[in-house]
Amino acid sequence: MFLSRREQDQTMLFTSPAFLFLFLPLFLLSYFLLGRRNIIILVFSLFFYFYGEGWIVALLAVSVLIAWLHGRLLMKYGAQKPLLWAALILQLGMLGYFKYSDFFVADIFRIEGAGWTWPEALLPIGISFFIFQGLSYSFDIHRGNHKPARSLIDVATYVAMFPQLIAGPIVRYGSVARALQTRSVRPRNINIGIYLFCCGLAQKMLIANKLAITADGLFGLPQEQLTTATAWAASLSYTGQIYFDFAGYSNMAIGLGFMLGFVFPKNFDHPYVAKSITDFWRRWHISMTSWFRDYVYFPLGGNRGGSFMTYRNLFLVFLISGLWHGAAWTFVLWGMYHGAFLVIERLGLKKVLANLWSPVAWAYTFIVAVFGWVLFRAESVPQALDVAKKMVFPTGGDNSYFFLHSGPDIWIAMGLAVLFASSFVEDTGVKLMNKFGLRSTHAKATAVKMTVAAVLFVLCAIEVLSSTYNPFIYFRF
Amino acid sequence: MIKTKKSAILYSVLLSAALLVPTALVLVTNHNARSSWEGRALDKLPTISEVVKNPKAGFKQFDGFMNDHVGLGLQAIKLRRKMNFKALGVTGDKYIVSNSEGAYFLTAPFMQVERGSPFQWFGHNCNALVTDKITNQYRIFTTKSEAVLSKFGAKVIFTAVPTKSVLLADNLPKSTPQSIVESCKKIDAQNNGMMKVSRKLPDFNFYYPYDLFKARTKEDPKFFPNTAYHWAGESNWAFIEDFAKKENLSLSQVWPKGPCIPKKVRWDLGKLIGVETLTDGCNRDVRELRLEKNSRYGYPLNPESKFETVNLFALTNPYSANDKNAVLISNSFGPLVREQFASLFKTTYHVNLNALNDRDLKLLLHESDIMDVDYVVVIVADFHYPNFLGPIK
Repeated sequence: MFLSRREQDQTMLFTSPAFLFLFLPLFLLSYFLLGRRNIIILVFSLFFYFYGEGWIVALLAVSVLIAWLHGRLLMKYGAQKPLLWAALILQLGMLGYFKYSDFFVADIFRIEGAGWTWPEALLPIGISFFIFQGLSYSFDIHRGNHKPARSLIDVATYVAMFPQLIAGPIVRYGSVARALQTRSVRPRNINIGIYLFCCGLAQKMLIANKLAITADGLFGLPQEQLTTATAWAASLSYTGQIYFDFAGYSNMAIGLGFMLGFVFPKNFDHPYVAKSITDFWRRWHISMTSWFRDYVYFPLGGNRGGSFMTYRNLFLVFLISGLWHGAAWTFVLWGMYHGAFLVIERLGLKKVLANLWSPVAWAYTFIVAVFGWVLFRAESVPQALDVAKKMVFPTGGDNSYFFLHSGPDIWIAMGLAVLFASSFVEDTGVKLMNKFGLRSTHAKATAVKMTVAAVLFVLCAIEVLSSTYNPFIYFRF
Repeated sequence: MIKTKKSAILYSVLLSAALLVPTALVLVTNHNARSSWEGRALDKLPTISEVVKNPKAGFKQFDGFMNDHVGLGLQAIKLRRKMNFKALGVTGDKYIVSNSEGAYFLTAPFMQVERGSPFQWFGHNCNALVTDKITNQYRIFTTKSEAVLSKFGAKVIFTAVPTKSVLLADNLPKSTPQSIVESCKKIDAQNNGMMKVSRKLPDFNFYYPYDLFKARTKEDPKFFPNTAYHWAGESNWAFIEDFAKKENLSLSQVWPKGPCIPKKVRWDLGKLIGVETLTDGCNRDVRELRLEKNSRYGYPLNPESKFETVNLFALTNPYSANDKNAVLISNSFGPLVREQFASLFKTTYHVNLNALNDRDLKLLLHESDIMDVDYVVVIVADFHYPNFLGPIK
């Protein structure tokens, strides 16, 4: 479903020379020198999507038009429910056809056969993200949280903005509505943007891509060659890979947003230090979790209908969230798995965890998350079960495959992953800066951050220029 | 209203200019250097009509073009690979792995044929399964050679160079599958692929100096430089000395006696992993053989040549102890021992099969004038046969 097929997708990756050394500087020059900034963002964003997906960019345009039209009609007729339903049906209809039709036809309803086959639908990159942004627009203007955008350009800029177009974070209309009209760009914004972008680039290039070598190699082994040790190595590598890949991409998007004068929401907050699964979901893919909370969980009734309804709603939300990540049973089960743990924690486990020694609560959360990633990464449910079984029940055999798919550079990446999974490095950095008086003035603090950014960028540029292994994980979700 | 401070504009222009440097360098970079370094043609810039006709494919090609041509790309590749290798011992290629003593192994084909699974060659050499197909491949080659050469009375000898999977079987890389490690440990002078083939084809002459290489490699890691895939240095000299003794051929009158002098020798794996350097070896001075290299001789430079590939070396030896002539047919192991081999004969012709196309190979085997020789010696790697017979699987 992902990663190994990503190479075929051929979108313009943030970590490609074409993006870093051509598209990005040309965009920045145009944005700052030509004026009409929202139009510049839109034109470059459409080209960005066209570059990877060709004429499927029309689908993005249709999604924008639906959202915009909803706004226009709302201005004329008021917040009518049929208008909202029409927008929802059209947007979700597109998502359903392009992302889920194959899965539902072939795997769920099994209605193919007798000489008839369902024509396989293309899966446009980032469809889940831009449809969700379009839906956010429709929900927010319907609820009266925000007025509809004044122009089609503004709606299109919001939905199609390239920094977050294909892998998030899912930006809510409310968080950028004002900035689409009025924003200011100062050197300080650019500094913050550069720093965040470089940190994200480093997370992706120096950590996630290295761990991907081990994760891909070991998950690609035939089942009979997997041992307990290699199963754990595969799962832990993937646990690191998916976090640093996705968080890295989010940070790059947030950084680019800053450079343009937007403030995108934080998407990750050290999820692997969480002490419960409930806490984990407050820290992981925050923009998605809050989207589901506001637009699915609350409309379902949230926790207003008593305990049973709360559990049901929680479970349903995570089931849908699993499906949102991908049209496959592994994702559905992954969503249910997390939904089940959230329900169990609500049933009382959360209180128990709160009274436990912190490392124990942390270990529980981390292990649950790791087993969840096995489901998420596996190509099929039987593969996921096999890997999980071997992680639980000691299975001996040949561990040489671990050494084949790892090495000192990957072990270093794993060490960095452990270090940067918590806020330890950041906190220590701040302490050291305080100690040496480097935070006493804004200029000094900026100089330190820019130095860090420059070093990271040079390291990543060397990696980018010399590396061909460069897939992103989250594009198809 | 979107307000932008002038300083922000200036800042962004400077930032953009810095980011554009690698792209600007596309215009002044010597792209042949990268093409040559990687041994492949670089992706071309798509035409506008190609992009318009099929945007996805066109932009994909543009990505490939940028990846291949972006300024500082080759320098970055070399720098990163050198850093990785020197500091961490990382080759960046799962088919090139090292053992605990820093010996490097190439575990599967590189470039010439499609790669199979890692350790494909280890499995082939150590399992030493002499199937009917493999036997037949050897028979085809030797029979084909015999058919052409026997009328001249040439003696055909098939030789193979023991490689590190069998020589260092006691200390293979940790990533070697356990089943292959066990098989490699069982290899000895009689239980190996070449000897098994020789038992199945008793009419043919095989020469496989396993004992010599095993003993000398154990004594001195420089004998068969342990970072290399191909032999180099002292192992070349020792091979020819042993071969001459077995065939009762006298060494050249100017054959340099040992011992070899520790010195850097060619490191064949360096280029494959992107690190240009030499490696520790032990060598004698090949110039002492005082051979005359006559590259003008032979088909390739004949104006009426039917050959498309230039691949023939002719060496004459004024200090030969006999009047015999020989043809050396080899894969990539041949060029490293060509001079030492030529010193055993008056005239030697060498053809590297890896560099011959199929058509020319057939022509070579069926043309007769250079085959008017006393010896035809084939040198390939351990339990391999010439590549034109198909990949080892």
